[in-house]
Amino acid sequence: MLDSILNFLQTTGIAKLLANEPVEIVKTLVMYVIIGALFYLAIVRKFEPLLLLPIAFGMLLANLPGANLMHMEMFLAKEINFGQVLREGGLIDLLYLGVKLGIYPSLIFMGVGAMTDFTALIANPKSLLIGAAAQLGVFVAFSGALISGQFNPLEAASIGIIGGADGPTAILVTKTLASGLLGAIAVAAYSYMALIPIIQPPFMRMLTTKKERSIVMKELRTVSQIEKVVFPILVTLVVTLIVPDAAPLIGFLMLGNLFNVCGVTDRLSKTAQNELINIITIFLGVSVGATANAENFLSAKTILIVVLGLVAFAISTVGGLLFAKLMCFITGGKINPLIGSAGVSAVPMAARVSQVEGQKANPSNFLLMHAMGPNVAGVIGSAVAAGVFLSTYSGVTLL
Amino acid sequence: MNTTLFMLEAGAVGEKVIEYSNWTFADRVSEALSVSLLGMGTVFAVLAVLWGVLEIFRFFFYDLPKRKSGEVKKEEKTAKPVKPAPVSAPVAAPVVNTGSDAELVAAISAAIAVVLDKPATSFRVVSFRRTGTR
Repeated sequence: MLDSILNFLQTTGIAKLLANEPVEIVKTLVMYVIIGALFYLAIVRKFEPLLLLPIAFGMLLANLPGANLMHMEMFLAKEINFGQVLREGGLIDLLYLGVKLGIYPSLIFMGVGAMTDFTALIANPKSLLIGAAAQLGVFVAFSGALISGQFNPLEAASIGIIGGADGPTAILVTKTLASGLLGAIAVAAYSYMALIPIIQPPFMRMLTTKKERSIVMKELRTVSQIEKVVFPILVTLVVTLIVPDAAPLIGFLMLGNLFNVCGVTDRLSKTAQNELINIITIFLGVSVGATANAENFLSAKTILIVVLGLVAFAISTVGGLLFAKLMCFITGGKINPLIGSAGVSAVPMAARVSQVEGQKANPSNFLLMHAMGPNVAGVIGSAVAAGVFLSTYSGVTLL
Repeated sequence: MNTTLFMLEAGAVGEKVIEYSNWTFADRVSEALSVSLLGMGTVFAVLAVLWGVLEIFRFFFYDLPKRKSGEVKKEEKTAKPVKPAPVSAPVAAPVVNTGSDAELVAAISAAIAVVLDKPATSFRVVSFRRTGTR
């Protein structure tokens, strides 16, 4: 009887935790503090709760002593043994296959496409260039990470893409190039996306004058139904003919948008923007969070990733603002430079920040629709930047 | 530069190998600059091409049909001179008529005043437009 009780006690999580080295115990406890902070940010502060909450819970599941819910070692090998994953893997291992095979980011992009209104971009296609300029942070952070000597080129590319302010894009690049950093990069990307209303305004005020912020832009033209329908097909063709590696993101983004605008697939559009994206978000969040165990998450690299991610966001904001200022100058003051910061993807939060800052300078100013153009252009721009990294580094062996 | 490409099996599978462990500071700077230039250049090029295509697109699917419909209206106007219809007794018209702008501004101002719980003199309606109906 006593033996049975002792045997049972040895199988408990507490016994397994205490059986570790003191350093490991401290690391696990620190992880719980970080997880607690993420729960706080998601539930109390409502920072990207739909993703941050499942990610935090996935992290909790991965750090339960003795539970062994995630077997990251099966996925870190260059060639994944899928037979082994199916035979020996548990629920989270199987869910993680959707990340590793690049299924979830594409399906989430389909939902995003179904929810996104590209009318502002079609009406004012010049704003595509602002979306391009706002990718500057991606490449500055990539360069910083690489030059620091702390990260190899594949890891640096995964860190740089945080500046695209697009969670699925960051996850797709990282799972392909540096899956060991997936947890840290996902947490950094989604946290900063939630912090956009805090990160961007100081740069917006610093780089623009009150007069520029007060500019009232001309009302956008109406967009015909045929333009809305042809747009997703055209974007898919143009982007993927130049950067085929962007196809999994752009293709599904535009498929979702076509469902929404064509007028004959309402059921598919509703599924893509509701049930499907919700289910995939749960799978993605939990399995990405589960990759962040104490061993790989608590390292100096994670701190550097967090710092470089912030740099990427800030520089992308600056890039978009400066380009919009240039366009303001060229057009003789017809463009409000505040719409530049919306070029950093993060739909529609970045556009809302432009609207709020614009109204502070001129209460009768309505920049939201004007900012939506660069905002959705940023989604396309970050997918193209991801395509460049994937075409450069996918399949590379480091020696 | 640091990236060497070789074939694992003649004509079959190619694998890129980067000898990263031998990289000096200069190599890292050089790689960072070249990939960043390539990346920003590609992003700008792709989005600029899209911009151009959308402008062409606008001509064919927006400007041209608009111009044509404008011409059609012109032709209709010249072909059928408008005759003033005989005025009949006023009937409760089912047609949604917006009335004059002043009346509309007054109605919108009243609605805003109710929502904001502030007197209509505390704000000014600068502009308004009809949103799309579905």
